[in-house]
Amino acid sequence: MSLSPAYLHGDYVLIQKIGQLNRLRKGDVVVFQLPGYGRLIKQISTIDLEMADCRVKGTAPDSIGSDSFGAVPLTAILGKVILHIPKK
Amino acid sequence: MLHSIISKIDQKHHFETASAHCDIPCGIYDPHLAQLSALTVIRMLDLMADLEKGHTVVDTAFRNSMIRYVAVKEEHAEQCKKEIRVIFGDYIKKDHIEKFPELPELTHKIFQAASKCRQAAARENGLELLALVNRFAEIFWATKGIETKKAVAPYKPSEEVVYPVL
Repeated sequence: MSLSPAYLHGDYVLIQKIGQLNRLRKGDVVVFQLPGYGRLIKQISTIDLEMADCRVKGTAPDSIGSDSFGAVPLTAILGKVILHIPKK
Repeated sequence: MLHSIISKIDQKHHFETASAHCDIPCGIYDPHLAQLSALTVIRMLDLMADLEKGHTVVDTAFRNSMIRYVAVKEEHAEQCKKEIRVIFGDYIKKDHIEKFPELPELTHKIFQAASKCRQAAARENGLELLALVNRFAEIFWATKGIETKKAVAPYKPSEEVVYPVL
């Protein structure tokens, strides 16, 4: 699990859509849709407002992120995590 | 507490899921590497037995060859476990297990048989591993609706292998 140990398989998250009052910041955990990869959850490492995209990463050493699939368009982001309910 | 309440709601309303993939989800799964690994284990066991028969003196050449055979046997027994683990962990879904309830036990047996191949030098261990992996391959292809056939591999150790009929 690439966000382990903070996020593990079976955890629940509540996400909020991105808007004027809820802007993205570095370090936010976001859920986004990526063609070929499906719906993913990762952490934002950098945001480029001019290009309207961000780079994401997992927190586990073997996880994939923007180094593998490139920057994520901000329009692909479904929301950022505002509540995390761990399984354990 | 909160998790178990939400889990019950989830069971009824099926929340959407997001994956934190560590692997690139390429969708390429094939048990043939596990089968090749099992065949390699048997081949190494045969070479070890042949070397033992052919050598009367335990010299440097003997040790060198024996160590190489054992090292390859170790590597491929682990490789076999790894390939099966990836298919079972990433490809096999709940409905596959419902259709083939022997799958979890079969997978566990493969892991144990592969470890047995590392621990000892008996050929039967390798044959047992191959038989289990072949059964796993039959089930894997069946989950895709692809028929299989059994044929003797055209190379040593000349054992029977399950192939998909494509």
